[in-house]
Amino acid sequence: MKKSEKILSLLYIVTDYSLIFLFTYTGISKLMDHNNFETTLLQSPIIRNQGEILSWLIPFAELFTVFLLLLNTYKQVGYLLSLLLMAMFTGYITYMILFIPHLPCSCGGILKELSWSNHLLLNSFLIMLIIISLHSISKNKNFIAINRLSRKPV
Amino acid sequence: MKKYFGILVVVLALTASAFSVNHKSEKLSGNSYTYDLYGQPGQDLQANIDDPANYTFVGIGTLPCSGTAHRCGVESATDDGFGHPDFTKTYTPRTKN
Repeated sequence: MKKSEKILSLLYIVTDYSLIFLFTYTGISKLMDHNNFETTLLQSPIIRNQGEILSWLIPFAELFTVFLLLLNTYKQVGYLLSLLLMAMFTGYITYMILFIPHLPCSCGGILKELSWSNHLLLNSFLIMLIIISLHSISKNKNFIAINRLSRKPV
Repeated sequence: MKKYFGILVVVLALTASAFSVNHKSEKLSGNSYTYDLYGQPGQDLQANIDDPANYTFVGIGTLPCSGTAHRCGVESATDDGFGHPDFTKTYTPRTKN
């Protein structure tokens, strides 16, 4: 295995387990502290009206993503869903930083303690990891497909 | 072995959330304030809604608000020291028709 392949493989493992840990932790935290989570969502001007439904939808979407990431067959779908969730969270954080930075974060567990800017940094870093992993998966698939095509029957 | 490592990470995350989350199931208790501009012109202006000076302390408990159209007050809020709600802390907005 080449050095670059080793690094990609390590990055892939780090992304995989980081996402599983993060989404399980935040999903469960939001469900365990659901009243607080819902209250914080209701304060946000852009999602105030959908606060109640989103307070259930978001944690279950996070846990469903974990389920997909745990299954090798659906890993790529899991990454795509992770990317979608992270992109949505990042968009929301950017809006909060720009317009209403005094409101508290509706994130789960200890992530609540992060400032909006730190949260944006963490999300951007995770989005970068997901994109690299998705890219490496599709590259790997092409590699397998090429190998299959070139394989001669014995 | 590698196959089960994901499950181990899930268990680790569950343990971490069990130790770090305040998992009280009851509603947050705190002060309730009525929105002074309810039923008045400008009641729906965001600047008025976000101004703590437009709220009056009425006690601790639930506000008699029902409906979805206009802000009638806030519950479970923290006082800012001047008899108004502190909007930098968590609170529950209430609406009335």
